[in-house]
Amino acid sequence: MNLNEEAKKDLGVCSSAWLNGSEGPSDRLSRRRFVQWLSRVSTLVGLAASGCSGAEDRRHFVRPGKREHLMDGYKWIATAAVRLHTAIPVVAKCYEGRPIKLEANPLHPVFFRGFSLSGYAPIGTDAVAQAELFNLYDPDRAFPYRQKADPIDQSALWQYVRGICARLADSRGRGLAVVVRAGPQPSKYRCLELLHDVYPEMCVAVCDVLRSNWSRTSKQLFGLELDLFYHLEQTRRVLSLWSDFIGTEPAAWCWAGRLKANCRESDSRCFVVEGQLSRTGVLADGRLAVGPHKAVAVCLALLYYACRQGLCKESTGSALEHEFGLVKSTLTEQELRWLEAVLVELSLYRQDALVVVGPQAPPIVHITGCLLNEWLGANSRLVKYLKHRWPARSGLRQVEQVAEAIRAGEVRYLVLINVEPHESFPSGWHWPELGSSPVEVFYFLPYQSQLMLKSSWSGPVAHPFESWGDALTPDGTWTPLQPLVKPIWGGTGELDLLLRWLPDQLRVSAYDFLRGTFAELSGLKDQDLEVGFTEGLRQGFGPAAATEVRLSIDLGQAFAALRREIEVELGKQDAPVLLLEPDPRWEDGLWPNNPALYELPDPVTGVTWTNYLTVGQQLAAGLGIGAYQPSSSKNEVWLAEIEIWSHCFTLPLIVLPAIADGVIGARLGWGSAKEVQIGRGRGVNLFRVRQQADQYMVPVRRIRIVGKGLLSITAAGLAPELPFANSLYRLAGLEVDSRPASTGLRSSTFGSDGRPQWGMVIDLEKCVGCGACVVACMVENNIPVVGPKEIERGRDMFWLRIESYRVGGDPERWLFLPMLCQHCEAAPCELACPVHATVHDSRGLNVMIYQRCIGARYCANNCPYRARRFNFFHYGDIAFLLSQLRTDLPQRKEGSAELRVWREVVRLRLNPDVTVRMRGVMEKCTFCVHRLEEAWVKGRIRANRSDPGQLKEVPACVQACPTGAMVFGDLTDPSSAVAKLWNDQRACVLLPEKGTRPRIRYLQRRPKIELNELPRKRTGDRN
Amino acid sequence: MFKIWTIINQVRRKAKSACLVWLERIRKPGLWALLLLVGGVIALVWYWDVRLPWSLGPAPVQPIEFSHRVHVVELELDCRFCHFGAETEARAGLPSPAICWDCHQQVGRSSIGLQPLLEWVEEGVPLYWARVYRLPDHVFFHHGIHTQAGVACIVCHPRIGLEDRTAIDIVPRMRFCVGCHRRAFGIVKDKESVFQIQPFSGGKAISVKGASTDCSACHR
Repeated sequence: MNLNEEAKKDLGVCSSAWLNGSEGPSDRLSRRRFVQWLSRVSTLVGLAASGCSGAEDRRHFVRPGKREHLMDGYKWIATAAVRLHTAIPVVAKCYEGRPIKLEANPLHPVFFRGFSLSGYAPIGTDAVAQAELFNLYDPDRAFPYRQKADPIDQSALWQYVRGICARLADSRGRGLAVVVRAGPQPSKYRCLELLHDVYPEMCVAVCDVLRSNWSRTSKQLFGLELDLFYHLEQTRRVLSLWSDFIGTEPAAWCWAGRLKANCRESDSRCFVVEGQLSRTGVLADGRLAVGPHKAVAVCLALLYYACRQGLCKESTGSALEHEFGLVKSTLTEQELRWLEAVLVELSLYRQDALVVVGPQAPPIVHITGCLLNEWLGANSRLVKYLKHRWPARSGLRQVEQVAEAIRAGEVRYLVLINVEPHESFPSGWHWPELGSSPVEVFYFLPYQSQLMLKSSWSGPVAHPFESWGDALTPDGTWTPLQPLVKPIWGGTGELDLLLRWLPDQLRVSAYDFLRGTFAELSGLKDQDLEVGFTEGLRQGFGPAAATEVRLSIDLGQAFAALRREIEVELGKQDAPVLLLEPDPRWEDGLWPNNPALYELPDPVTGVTWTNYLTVGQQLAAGLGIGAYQPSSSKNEVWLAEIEIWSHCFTLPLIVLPAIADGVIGARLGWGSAKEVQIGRGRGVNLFRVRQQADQYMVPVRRIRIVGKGLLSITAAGLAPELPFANSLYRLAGLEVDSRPASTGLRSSTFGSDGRPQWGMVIDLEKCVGCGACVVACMVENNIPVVGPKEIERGRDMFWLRIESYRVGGDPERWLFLPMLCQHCEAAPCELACPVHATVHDSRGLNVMIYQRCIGARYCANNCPYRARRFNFFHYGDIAFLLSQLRTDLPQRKEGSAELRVWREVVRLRLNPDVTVRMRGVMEKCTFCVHRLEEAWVKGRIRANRSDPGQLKEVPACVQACPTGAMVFGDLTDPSSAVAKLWNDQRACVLLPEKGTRPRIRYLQRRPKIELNELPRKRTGDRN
Repeated sequence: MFKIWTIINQVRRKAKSACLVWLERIRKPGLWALLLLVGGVIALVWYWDVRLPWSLGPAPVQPIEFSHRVHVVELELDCRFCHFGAETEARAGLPSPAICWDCHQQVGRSSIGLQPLLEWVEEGVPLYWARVYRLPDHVFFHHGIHTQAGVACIVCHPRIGLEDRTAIDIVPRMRFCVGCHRRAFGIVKDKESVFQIQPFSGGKAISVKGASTDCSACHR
């Protein structure tokens, strides 16, 4: 039985009986009732994980009417983690009716399952999806439905809305305006179409504050908005034009997995043109640092060289020559040579080469990319153009049109769902102040904002895991979202909120509407529909909702569009520009209260808890910063004041090597002003300097250094010196050593008798440093978030961290090194422990026994890998983090009801299989021993029942890895993937000179190929 | 009434003077230290065995006087009839009242003792069932793997078939677990008799090698 069938057997459908209609007043769970309920179940939770709640409260609360409540153990329910521009199919592991962990849905067709010699199929998620549960169990989401500032009952609001709907149906919807957040949800667009049919004169806008420039270009070239899907697994050469497609792009989890799936077998290589220093850039084989303000020159150079290689007819090409001559001077000779060399390289691999363009790149780059792909033969082969079943139709307006309608007084009822005009709208939309206008505003957000209190009606939006919904994965597969819990704070789902505005005769529940969507997509009816829909819910996917269209590009039209764009671009100034990059963690800032994502260090800089400016060394020299750091302390950085139009911001400044000249980088989505305990005022909100939703480059009027400041940078960040130089050089593929890392296992020492010997191999070629493993580890092992001050002191609690190293003196060649407990066979920590709190078990794991630990910390001092973490305080208590953060909101006092709610709710997220560590004990990676044990127990039970299912249970990090870079398994089993890679020629251990004999081996990266050697012949060599 | 108080006061006075006399006698600090030590040990043992939630104690009073003896010995119900996690899951499971209701809507429905169950069914009044067995938070026990390996229910619940009111029968201490894990002879039974709970009810004991004594087997 393979993994998929195994997974299929275990997946369940959420019990829809009590989740289905989440309406009516009785469903609203007030904070008070929630606390009451919590105290009743606290025995259950207490048994689960967190500190012993004592003998006084030993009562079960047996909820009426649900038979399997107390004995269902774990349940796996397929759903999806939905974000602004992507959705990741996941399976939620639910314990006693609450989700505690998300894992990639192995059945879902979006994942590539092709043959891969080295390691697992790339089935994983990303860091943001892993951290989704922190949003779900967030007490800051608790606020009531309101009329003006007064709390009301939900039913009163819906009663009122029904009245309006009846009136609106008569007036064809005149006076109604709906602005809803963009997203990959087909049912939402279907619902908007339905609304538009019912109320033809209403004003509907889909608000996407991080609009991709591709959608505009796509309209220009093909007349409709298309989505792109790259078959990166088939490529051998990729050129990225200002695209961080394995780093910060929304679907990076998908692209990274596909790019790395066959990278060793097919010797695929990647070249990058970028202004910033992105993960795609530092992992690439060639990188050109040019800011997008020089996009015209780069594009024309590429097209000019391509034309010489036969992109188009002579006449068009020679015309380009003229324009190329105009802008040629902005690039140096060296840069032009690099571009030519890359083009030659791509042309050698025609049919297998692909150009990827970043969504933030100017439209001219998108046109260029399209043309180059056409020339390379990649269109429709390696790039698929997907057309949505329910695209945002032409009937839908732009947000600025809605704003205009409001100003013109045409709008009486304004419905805002998940949009934040004051936080994220670009200034060019001219959103009116609604305070004094007669417009009746219905405002729904997951977190309370000041604007809500001024709105006529407002209410909470439920988390996607609390409501019915659907989403499209990048390949266009329809993916249903099942509610995993009843809305904890009584919110209403996004789809539900839209459906409320349908007139009575058309209104259906979100569940029925979803089934309708499924019926339209699948064409099934009646009984087949029921069966098919249930099966779709159970498996977590349905038929495709975006289908491929085959397009032929009209070269003449494309070149005409190109010329228009050249005119536009040439008019722009090229002073220092601020590149605004969407942060995949926050996107438009709708969910700003996720502590795990604040704590997750940026893999390139290692900075946590804030955003910052990045500049290159040339610009830094221009600013007069001699030494790039103000002091020898790693955490101390310069503060810079940056002036853009009339705005002035002060942000920390980080100097990075190899950033393009004249480019300052910053991340969007930070600096939430909402009343949230964790996310309020972290970083600076840069949304307001933008004028348009697709503007990612703004001119900087002035930048100057204003002082010094402290940043919370983790020890792993900022590509430091090389502590273990020799091994690292080998890992980076700089020094090829054919000697195997070390001799065989020493399992006999541990008295093993047929027990598995666990080991892990990490392929550094495949690791893209995304941090999914880090957050998965946090969620799985109840690792606390410690806050910025503790990080500054080097007390981060990550069991698994991503270290980045610059290697070989090359600032553009980095190494991302997942660093966790190496489970050394000759572990130095065990020798140092005075109380035997850390010992080896018979499966070769170095285990840590918290009950024995006395906090001597000798083990941590003796660990050469810095893999051990000490609980200096009771980090597991959320009160610690809240006291650290000190927002300007009222403090949560010890013993207050609010703090109690925080503690109880945060406990719901904890994994009941892992102890919550107390203050004063050491902790470290356990290879998720509870998961291994669980798999072993299940295997035994199955074997006894003569049901021989092979359960592939792996640590959380391995499961979460989107590229399959981590391979885990039994080293004594010669058929396992890990045993095959264990003695691979490229495998090496860290710090071999210490003689620790780690149970983790790293596969070294491939040597870089040099573009200067070009032109070469196409080689068939396989590495 | 007054008389009783006088007697009590007299006794108190006498006891006080006796104590003072006795205290007068032990002047040596060594004796004091010994006394403190003995007292401390007694307090510690008392705390450990009586106060902590996982230790032995009186059977808690439940909303329904449920008797394991009646159900299991007299009616010969299988454990798994109600605790159906016992065979495969980590937790045997506290049965939902719906399971009680399956039978008791036919049997003994009018009895006063079952009134809370009726209320649960008809009005949704929750039942507050007191927990009897409780392992410390740092121990992770798996019912399924133990029953699969042939550890009979009565190994850890030896008196369950005799009790009208369920109480903790053994102190689930580490030495209790490790004793079996090291050498499991005589405890492991064949598959059929694992769930039989009458003591000495037959089923032959089989000998297997001891289970894992890795720390990580139970503490994670």
